Amino acid sequence: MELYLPIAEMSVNALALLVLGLTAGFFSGLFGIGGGFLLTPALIFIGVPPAVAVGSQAAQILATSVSSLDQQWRRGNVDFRMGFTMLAGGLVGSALGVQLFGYLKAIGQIDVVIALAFIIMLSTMGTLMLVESSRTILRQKLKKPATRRKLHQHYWVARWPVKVRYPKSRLYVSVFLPMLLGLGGGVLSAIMGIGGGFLLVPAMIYLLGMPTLLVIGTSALQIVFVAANVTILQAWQNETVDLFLALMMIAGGVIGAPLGSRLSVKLPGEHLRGLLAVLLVGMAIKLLVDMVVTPEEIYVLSEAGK
Amino acid sequence: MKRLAAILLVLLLPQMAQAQRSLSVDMARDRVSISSGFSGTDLLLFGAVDQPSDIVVVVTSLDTEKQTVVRKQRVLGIWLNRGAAEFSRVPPLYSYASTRALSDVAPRNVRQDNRLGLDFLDIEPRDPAYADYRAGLIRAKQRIGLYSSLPAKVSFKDDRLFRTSLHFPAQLAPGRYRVNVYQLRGGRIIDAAALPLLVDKVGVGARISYWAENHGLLYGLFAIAVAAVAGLLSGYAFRRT
Repeated sequence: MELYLPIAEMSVNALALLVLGLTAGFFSGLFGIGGGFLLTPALIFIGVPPAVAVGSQAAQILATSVSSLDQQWRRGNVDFRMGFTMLAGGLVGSALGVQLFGYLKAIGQIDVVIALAFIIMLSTMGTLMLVESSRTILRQKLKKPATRRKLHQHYWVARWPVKVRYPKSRLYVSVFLPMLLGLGGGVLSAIMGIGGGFLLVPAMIYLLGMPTLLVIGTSALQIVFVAANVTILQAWQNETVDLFLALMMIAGGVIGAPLGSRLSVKLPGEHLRGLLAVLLVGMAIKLLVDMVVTPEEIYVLSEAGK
Repeated sequence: MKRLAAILLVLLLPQMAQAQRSLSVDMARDRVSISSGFSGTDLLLFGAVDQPSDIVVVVTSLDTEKQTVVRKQRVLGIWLNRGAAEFSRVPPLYSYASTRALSDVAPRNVRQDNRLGLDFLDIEPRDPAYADYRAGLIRAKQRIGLYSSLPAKVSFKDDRLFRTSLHFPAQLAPGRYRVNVYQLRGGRIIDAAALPLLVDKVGVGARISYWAENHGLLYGLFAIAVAAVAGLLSGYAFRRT
């Protein structure tokens, strides 16, 4: 069955789209991640214009993160003060990101920038996780005790000015640090169509030193508002939000995510992380190969000026 | 008596000129509706001529667009977009049908004057410096199916009745189009007809693109409301299981 996407102005196989959404939903449930970094490149692979893929993904991320925030809030795992500080940066970052997106689209470089950003991010994260999880697995096999990590390390950022107390996270840090994290997350959200959770979460644990329990809910708070901001701005300024596309992705996620999280309970964490790492590296390689292999056609139509 | 004949002749002349029209055409539909299930469509065009002729059918758009073409170039092993050229007056669609190859139907000057064939599109700039980009633009449009790679076949029955099937791909843009039909004989156009064709979006998809294009802010707000509600509902459904 073909489905005509009104904003992308193309017809896609509805079944293929649903399978794509289900798969991404399954992985997001399995690994406890948003899944935007899987969906955006996958949509581009099937021929959705990169701009529309990123814009529509913002709406899908909103749906996923609202659901996550709702659950974490009920358990009291949200540091609102921290979340809103990050959000101040996040809103500025996403607004800047949408402007940058519009500019790159106008000069015809948006597809290259999106692909390169994904290659860098996927390969870095994938390699780090692969090293970390294989170390853990090896250590368990050799029955060595895990080296204890400090609660949080004091980097040079500890000397930043305007320190604020965050009682819930038991932190006393410069207000600029969470703002900067939010800013970075916001820019990535707007350009890559991802929530940025799996970049924010490690940054909040290792850089800010937040308690792990609060990190998921607090990053979800930031992502909800950033994704909402990106959705509005992309719809308003770049006209790149396809509601049909977003709804298909959301539907896939609703069905796929519970299946994935059910399986995740049965698999040990380090194996899960190893699996995710392989997936990330695999996608990075696929994107890189596409950029390195001589294309069949060197003249291509650009989204610019449309 | 002579006078009467002269008056009659003057009165009848327009009718006679009318009667000389040798081409009549029609289409199965004059409107293509892009609904949610749209995946391209075929349109039957048929007509009659009074003598054995060649028929050329050209479908083109009344609205033209600007299109940037980028050229990929290898930089440090990676293919990046390096050069770019912007073309204007680009027809979103150019598809055509013919009884024979266009070069057999009419000489170059006739094809050029009437813009028959992809070689004679009215795309600006015409500067030969952009010839590679221009050819790249046409190839790209052909890959999508918006420009004909090969003309569709116009087939005749009894040298009088002809028909052809015009194909429109899924990527067809909404807008006003025109179907020009030319009757040629001995390399000369002896008659022509034009039929309007309207392509529009219908149904929910049409409403979505209307709001997205005209009320982007409201559309964005609606999109976040839909996404947030869907997210919350999925959370509840998930918890129950």
